[in-house]
Amino acid sequence: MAERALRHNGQTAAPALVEARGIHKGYEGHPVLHGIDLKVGAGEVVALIGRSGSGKSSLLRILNGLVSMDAGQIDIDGLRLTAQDNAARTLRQLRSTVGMVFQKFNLFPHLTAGHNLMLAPQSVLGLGREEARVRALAMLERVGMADKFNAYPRHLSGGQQQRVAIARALAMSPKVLLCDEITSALDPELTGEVLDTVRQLAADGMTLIMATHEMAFAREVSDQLVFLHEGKVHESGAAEALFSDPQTAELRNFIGAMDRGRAARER
Amino acid sequence: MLMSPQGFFRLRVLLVWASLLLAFAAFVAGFELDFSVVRERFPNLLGLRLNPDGALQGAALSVLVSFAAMAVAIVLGLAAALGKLSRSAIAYGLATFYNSFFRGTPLLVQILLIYLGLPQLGPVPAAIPAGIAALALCYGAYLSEIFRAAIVGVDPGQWEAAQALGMSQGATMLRVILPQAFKSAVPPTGAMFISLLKDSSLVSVMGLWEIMFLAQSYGRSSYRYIELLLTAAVIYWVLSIGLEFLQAWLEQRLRARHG
Repeated sequence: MAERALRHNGQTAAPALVEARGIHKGYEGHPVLHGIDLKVGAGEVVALIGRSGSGKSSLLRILNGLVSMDAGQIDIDGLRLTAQDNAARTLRQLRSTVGMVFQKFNLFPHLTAGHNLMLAPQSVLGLGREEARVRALAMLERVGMADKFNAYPRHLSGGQQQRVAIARALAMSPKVLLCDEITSALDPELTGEVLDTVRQLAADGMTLIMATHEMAFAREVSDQLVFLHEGKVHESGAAEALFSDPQTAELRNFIGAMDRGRAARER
Repeated sequence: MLMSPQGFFRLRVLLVWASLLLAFAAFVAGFELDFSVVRERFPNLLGLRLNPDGALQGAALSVLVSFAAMAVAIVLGLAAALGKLSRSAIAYGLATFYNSFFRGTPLLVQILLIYLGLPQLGPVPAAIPAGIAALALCYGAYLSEIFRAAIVGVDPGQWEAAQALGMSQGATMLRVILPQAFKSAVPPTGAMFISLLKDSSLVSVMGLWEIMFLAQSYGRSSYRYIELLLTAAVIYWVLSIGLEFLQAWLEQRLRARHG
């Protein structure tokens, strides 16, 4: 209880679970991130917001080593990743701590939902087949998809596929879950079930870092809001405070544009 | 009884095939052929009997050499495809050299190099393994291109997803990428297999008694060249059709499993 109260002050009292310092990244000479600092406590929910191309996806990909950084340092749960030390072993260790869910689900189409979940626990954690199956079933249960264990991804709706993808990440027992605009590729009527799943994870105390365009959702579930603009953390803090009292013109514009966009969609 | 549109379409296709076959038969009939010489040699052409040395011959030998060569070629092709995708300069160099040489020189030259060249170094290869090796080396090079394209064609998101789960490069390739690449590689690989079956006639220069070797020898001895060549052509054709069915069956199965 005390912990939750602290979280909603937007502070992190305990040592950070994820701490990124001075992250720089450019693609073919175009700088995407220049000097990102980010601190995320255990159990905290962080929403990354910003225009397309503001570097949200790049930051998430760097946080689990899918993309290398040009400069900077990341500490996640006692593991340090720097621009220099990105050996395959370190990266794999990092990824077993940091789960990721993608915009386009990226389920393995040749495997059933259940086997999508069983593959990595068997291949990476060395679990036996039965153990992996039990774990997969439990995780599918958690996202309300237990009855689809034997279904191939192509027979599932987008929302169901994304829930399976979330379960697949959870099956590795990650300490942090990264969500990269996980509702952007879904029809509007399917976003609800995925957001409900994320809401449940947040309530269970999962540490979440999510890039999102769902402003209302970000406002509702996140403890910390990080507004990325031109490759920098332009403004950050408690979600409520940031939304009700944005300090910079850029954030005001961004929130305004998002609200107008949503109003237009709802009409 | 009325036919379904598909049934009617199939019937018309069948009629087109029948007319073309008839036209072909009419063309051949103009040669004043005498197929009686083929009749007694037909079991040998099919390979129903062993040759005087007690070895396989005819179509049976062609099929054996082709299947064995294809199996080895798939392994070589996969290795070369992975080499071409590798960051290691040695693997990349080996794969590209292999690919360039065996695609860039005539198969007949490669066969002769193995058959006549290897004995200069000492080992005298037995004809059947040498024939299999020559075909496998050549077709492995072509298959490597097909496999490389199939691997590269798998959605990059699949790599990301597997990597994000902490899977190693090797496990990702084996469990995630290759099973998906396999599906898109089947049709062009099937086409290669048919081509290999026909190119297996080239190993007759090694003294293997496969279909073409027998057809040419019998043709020379009986002065009935065209009859025997036509018979050989029909045997190859029927075998190719068999392979086409095999490929269609495999594609069907893969589609049924993962759409």
